[in-house]
Amino acid sequence: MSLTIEVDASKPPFQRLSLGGHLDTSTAPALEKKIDQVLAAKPLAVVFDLAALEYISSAGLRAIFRAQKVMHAANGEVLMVNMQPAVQKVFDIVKALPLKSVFRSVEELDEYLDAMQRKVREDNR
Amino acid sequence: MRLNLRGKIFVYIALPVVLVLGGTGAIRVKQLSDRATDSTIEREQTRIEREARLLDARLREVARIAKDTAKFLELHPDVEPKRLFELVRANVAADRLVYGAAIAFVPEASPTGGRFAPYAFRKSAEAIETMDIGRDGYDYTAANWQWWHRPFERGFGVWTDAYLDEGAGNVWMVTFSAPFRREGLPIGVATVDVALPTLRALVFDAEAQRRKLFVLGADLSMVFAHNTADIGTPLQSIAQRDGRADILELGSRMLREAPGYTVSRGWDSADRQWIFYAPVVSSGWVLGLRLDDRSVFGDVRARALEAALGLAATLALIALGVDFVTRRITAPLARLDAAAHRVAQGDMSVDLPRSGTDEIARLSRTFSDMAQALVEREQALVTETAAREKIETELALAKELQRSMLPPAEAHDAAFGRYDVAAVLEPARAVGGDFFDYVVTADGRLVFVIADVSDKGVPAALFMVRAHTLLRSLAGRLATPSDLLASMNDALCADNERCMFVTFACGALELAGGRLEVANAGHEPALRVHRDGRLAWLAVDNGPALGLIEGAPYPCAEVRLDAGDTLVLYTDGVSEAFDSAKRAFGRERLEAAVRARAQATALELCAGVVADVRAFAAGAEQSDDITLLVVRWHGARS
Repeated sequence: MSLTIEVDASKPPFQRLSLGGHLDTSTAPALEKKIDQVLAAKPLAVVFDLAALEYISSAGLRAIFRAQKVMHAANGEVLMVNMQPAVQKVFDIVKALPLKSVFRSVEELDEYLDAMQRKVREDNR
Repeated sequence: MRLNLRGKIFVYIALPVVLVLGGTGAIRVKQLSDRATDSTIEREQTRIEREARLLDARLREVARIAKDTAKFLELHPDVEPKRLFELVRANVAADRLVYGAAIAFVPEASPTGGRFAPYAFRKSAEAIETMDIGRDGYDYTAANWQWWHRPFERGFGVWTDAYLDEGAGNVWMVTFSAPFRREGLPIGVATVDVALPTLRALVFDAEAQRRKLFVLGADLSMVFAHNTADIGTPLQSIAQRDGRADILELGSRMLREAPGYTVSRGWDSADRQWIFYAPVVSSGWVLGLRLDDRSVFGDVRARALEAALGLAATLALIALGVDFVTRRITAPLARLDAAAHRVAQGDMSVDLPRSGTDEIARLSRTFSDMAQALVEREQALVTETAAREKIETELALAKELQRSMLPPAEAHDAAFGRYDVAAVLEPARAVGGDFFDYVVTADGRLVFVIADVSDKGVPAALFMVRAHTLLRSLAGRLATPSDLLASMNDALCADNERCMFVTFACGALELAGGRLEVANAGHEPALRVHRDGRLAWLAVDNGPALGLIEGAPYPCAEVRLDAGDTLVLYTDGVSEAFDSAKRAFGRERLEAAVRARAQATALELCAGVVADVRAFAAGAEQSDDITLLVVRWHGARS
């Protein structure tokens, strides 16, 4: 089983990664590499769209937690959207995601991102 | 026929060339030879006919002398006898071919009234002598003298057969004899003699004389022959002497069918002999020429042989040339073949020439390079294998070491029989990130843990060691599972750039009373199995997996066990064991596996569940470490 990764950098300062397929020991290194590239752009938030992700193993979790750790250290955020039940369950067990970082729909996410952007502009003023 | 490549090229090129060239060449040689043979035969035939006509013409000239004399005597019947001697002398002198001449009278009609025959003959080269052969008791009217009787019988001039003239000079001769008449009655003959031994010298030119000419008379005897001794000999005698009946038969045929030619075994040699023959009309003879096959066709044969040899030499040259070329072409192939054979046998020392630009040269170079690459590949493989073996050895040692860190897979309360512990750990790879542990503390609690480090393999194993070591150092000192997990989490969060984490469940069972404290860091919940087979998942408020969120709290849940209750803890290697259709084993199958063995011993339960997982995943690759920990409390026995 393979993993598909699509990077959408069209809305800076956000980076969106759409994952599909299986994220496990064999595919996690590719994702980690991609995440490193994305983080190098110093985004305000990294969004994982997991609509097509069917399976995640502990190796996959680790890759996402690592992104989260780096982002938190830079006052950024890692946000998750469209999480499928099977994947949701794995995240629930490990219990290492802040509740506010998981969105049920893209609309909710976009709202949050808009608010985030407004706040940044106000801070800059 | 089995041919190698060289043989095939040779046959395909040389054979057609040799066949075509050789065939046309052979036909040409044959044609040349036949044409030469035919022209030779024609030449000889023409020559013998010319010689025969020449002989005939000379004989007619000589005969003319006798005929003219006869005509003269008929016109002048009263010539004086003395003048008759002059006449015969003049007749002999008239032609060198004439040996003798006579005018013989019938005795009753002669001028002398008896036998009268004036005769002149060459006594020597210069001298001609005359005589009356009738006077010397020589009875020319005797029955044996053809020259006397034959003209009277025939009524005109005629040649005799060859005869030996014993009277005049003991010479073999033939005589032309012409009758002359008075008042219609024949009264005598005028004759000319031709000596056979001189015939050859006087008629034929030098070249013809050297050849084996012979003349056969109408009476089948030799008029003259190459061998002078045979003159006058009947052919029958010669045939008898030589034991060759066919010679006689041949003689008759020659007389019958002249002109012509025939070929047969030689008369005087073992060689084949050609006989060309032609008629001598006036005398009824046949002139023959015997030619040895070799002398006639020697030249023809020699030329044919020469041409054939030339052809053979040409063909041999072509064959040699083709052989040389094919050898040159195929020699590198043969070397290549031999080299390939050696390589196949394992001898990699390929030594092929690297020069040249044709396909075979390129193939040779490619093959050399290939063999070289093969050698390098083999060496690389040896090195690689050695490296891998080294890693495998190290992994095996690491596995051994990791296993030695775990407590025994089975433990009982030897003193009081209050608990049983059984565990199974089967790594997906040589080393893994799962571990379990249990210890009975000084205050009488059985503390047990099960843990699963994120990911698999060596990184997971190293992190497992770190977590396990931490556990061992903290377990004795900390009062509750909550404290233990919180402390471990804080320690593991430090220096964890790669965000390795470990899900971790910990229980502390008071053996005396059955009070159980459970804390869970992101791990699968434990399954409680009642003695009667009822199952219950232990609801615990999870904390996050260890190593991710510093300072996270880990609440403790408290449960009171009944005597005989069993706790089953497992890692996701069990719940997420996949079959070949990618279905997960799942909690339902786990429940069923456990329920079926509720009455079994802890060890049997443990082994049975693992066997079920194995059976379920039959054939599919084990994706994660499989760990199962079973703890049974038998109650506070004394």
